[in-house]
Amino acid sequence: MNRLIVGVAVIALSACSTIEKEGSREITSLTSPDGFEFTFMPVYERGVTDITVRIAWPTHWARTDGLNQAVPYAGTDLILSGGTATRKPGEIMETFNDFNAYGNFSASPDYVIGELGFPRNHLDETVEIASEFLTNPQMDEQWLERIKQGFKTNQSDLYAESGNLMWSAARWAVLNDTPLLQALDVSDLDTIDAVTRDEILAWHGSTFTRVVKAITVTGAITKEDAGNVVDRLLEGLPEGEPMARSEDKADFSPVTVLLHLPDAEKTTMGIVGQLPPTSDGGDYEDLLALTLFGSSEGPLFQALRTELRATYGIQAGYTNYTRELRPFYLFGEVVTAQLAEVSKVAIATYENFRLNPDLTGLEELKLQVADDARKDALYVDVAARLMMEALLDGFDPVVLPAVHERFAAVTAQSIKTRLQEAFPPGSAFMVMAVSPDPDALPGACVITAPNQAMNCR
Amino acid sequence: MCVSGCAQPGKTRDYLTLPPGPFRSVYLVPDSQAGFDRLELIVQAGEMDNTGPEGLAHYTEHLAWISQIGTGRLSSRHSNAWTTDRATGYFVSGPGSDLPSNMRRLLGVHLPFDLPEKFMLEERDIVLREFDQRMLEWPYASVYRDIGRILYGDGPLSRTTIGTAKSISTFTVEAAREFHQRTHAHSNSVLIASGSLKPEALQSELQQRKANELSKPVPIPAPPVAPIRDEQMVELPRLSAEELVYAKIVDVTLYSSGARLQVTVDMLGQLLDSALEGGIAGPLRYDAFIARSFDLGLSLNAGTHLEMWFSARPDSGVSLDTLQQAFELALQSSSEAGIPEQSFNKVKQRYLADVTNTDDKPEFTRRVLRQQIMNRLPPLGYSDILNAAQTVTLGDVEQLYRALIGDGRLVIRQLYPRL
Repeated sequence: MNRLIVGVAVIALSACSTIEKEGSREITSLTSPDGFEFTFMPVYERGVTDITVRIAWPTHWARTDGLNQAVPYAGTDLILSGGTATRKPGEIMETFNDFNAYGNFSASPDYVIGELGFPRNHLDETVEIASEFLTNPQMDEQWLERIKQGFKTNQSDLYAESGNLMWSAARWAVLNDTPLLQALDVSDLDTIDAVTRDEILAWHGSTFTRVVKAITVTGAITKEDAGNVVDRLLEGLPEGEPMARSEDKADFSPVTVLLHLPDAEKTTMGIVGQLPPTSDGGDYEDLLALTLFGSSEGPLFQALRTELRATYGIQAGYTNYTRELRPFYLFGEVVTAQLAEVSKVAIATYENFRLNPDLTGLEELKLQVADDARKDALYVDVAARLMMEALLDGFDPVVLPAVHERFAAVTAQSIKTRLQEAFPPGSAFMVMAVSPDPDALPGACVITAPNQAMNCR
Repeated sequence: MCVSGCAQPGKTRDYLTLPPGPFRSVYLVPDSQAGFDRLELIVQAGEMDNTGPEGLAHYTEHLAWISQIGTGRLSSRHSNAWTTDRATGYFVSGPGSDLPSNMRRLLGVHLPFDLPEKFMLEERDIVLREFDQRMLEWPYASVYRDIGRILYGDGPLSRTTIGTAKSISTFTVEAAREFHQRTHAHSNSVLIASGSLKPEALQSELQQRKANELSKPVPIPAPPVAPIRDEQMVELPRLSAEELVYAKIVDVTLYSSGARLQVTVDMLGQLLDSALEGGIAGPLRYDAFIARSFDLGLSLNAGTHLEMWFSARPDSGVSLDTLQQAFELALQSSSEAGIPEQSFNKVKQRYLADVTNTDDKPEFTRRVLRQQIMNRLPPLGYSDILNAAQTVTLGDVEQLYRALIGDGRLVIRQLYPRL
């Protein structure tokens, strides 16, 4: 319905490269005429007309006491929803649809990242509209009210599922009552109601400045035009001030918590530990190891579904609270009466895999994942995102091997080393659960609301 | 080798139609960019063909898949199965050297279950866990089930694939065996292969199997035709905010068919979903604050019926009655006024651009082929859709719009959170 906000990316895959010009797909670090550093990868191939620009603005909002942590989410929506001084919201949406262009923001505790995608022949008008959004958003009060209502409904829907309340309890146990917790949780709907236009203007003014962490430009564009686009998007923004990186306090130490919800319709278990940040490297090993461990043919599934018959499916994965805090989890709905046994077997199966992994099928998996990565990285927008992620982790995308080459370079030994050196031992896990049965997990700290999890420490 | 819709000299082949060997049909979608080959076997039977406890087709799929594919270590590590109301699918993918073993696994889903009786009974509980995961805390489960029953009558078309907790608990291995034996036959299945595998290699595999007599799939039954308008207010636990749900089916068998009808449906859907003149996003969301969000989807059901699902949440201070009236007025007004040619041209231009710029044409063809086979209809591919998109006229879209506005089976639910 709203292409501009939802950001339905229309992406251009270069299937053939018969008219390659010099430098196509070469990644370089450049400086725009106004002095902004950006990472550039042109794609000069037949059929490729799209351009993607990504800009990451650092933010401290989620680390600052006394601020409403719902503001960045409402603010990013509002910037794109209220139209510009000269164009109405519906008109902009249809213009972008005609252009096959899109724009979106994502707000996280570390950065607000904006992405703009458009075909080469609509560069001028798309960049003009995007620049207006950045420098002079209308922040319409009626749209703000609409966005707040929608945001409240989304959060209500989210926390109507007992499994998501378990994740909220895990966050409280790890982060305690901090602005970062509030930013990741947004479970108090009153904070959404309390968002004001003035707060959003303050957030906008302090976030969208000429201090940026990283910029990537990819696609059917010359380096001169790319530099000009960067300058046009950032001109008119205040100078801003550099932000020092802050340390987040987090406690992933072992604890067993059961969130008792008498009305919950099912029991859900989450076993949570911590992985090193992706900036330390090793994430290619992480992905392959967890795919082998957690797939429907892996040992976790075998132990919990095929043998214990206690779950339909169990996931092994990781997520990011921030770029530094990276929880690792085993998660799934389980038979209530088997919760205690399942948690023990899941941890034992994990520990056995960590210390003595069966990596049967690794080579085939590498081929498949590397092939998928190779194809994905051909997309102009995916390339811009990969380059941005490398930059935010402190790597230089110019010298990094291609993603598929990095998967191909993983070995059984590098996975074994990674599992033993970076993955937490089974004894270091938090065991979290939500259940209608308060006695389902003997020895657990039983709570009745997610925020009580911080008192289980 | 190619029979239809594909092998024209000098043109890209979307898919090849191969001699079917043991199957009803076999299609090969060439995909030189794919690193792995994919085999998908679609049994042209699903929950609507089940007369036992609701959801039995899905349980049967679990047992067939685990028997032959889902246990042990597959070299490809990429396989799965699915069930819908009208079809059941099994797929495996892997390197070209796996073709013989992957074909054996797929053919095996038609063999009698090869699992211990106790394990099969326990799998019923696993299906119940799946039901728990998907349905238990989903607030709309009961209301969507009711809407389906009213739209499609209390017959095969309104059966839900997942079933109910009660029906799942009554599954027996014997009933699954009977359903499996009745539906899972090579002659009732269509194979879609894709990747860089050579047609000769696939054909060689197929020729090793005994060919069946060619047969046509059992047609999908027609839904009831008597027009209805069923309106209710419903309170739902776990619902976060008031919501309007508006579902309608209309018979479109008198209109064009095949790719042209599909594209006409797509274009009408995109037009209505837009803020262009003639669309509903303007009157509901951009020109006025009536709906803070809405979803509108049109789909072609079995090639004969147009199904519309509209759901919307009102802006602050707007009642569901007002929202419903505004939606119906927007549809009525734009239908009576006619779709402006400029709006149609924009939608057509966007649609053509989307299809033309499709990056993964083999995936596009696989998706369209799968949809057709699931609906027990003749095959279509990328070129069929592209050609149809070039020929659809404003008159086609307006005609379909009039049908959508006209008599049909309409169910409206105003949903309120149960406090």
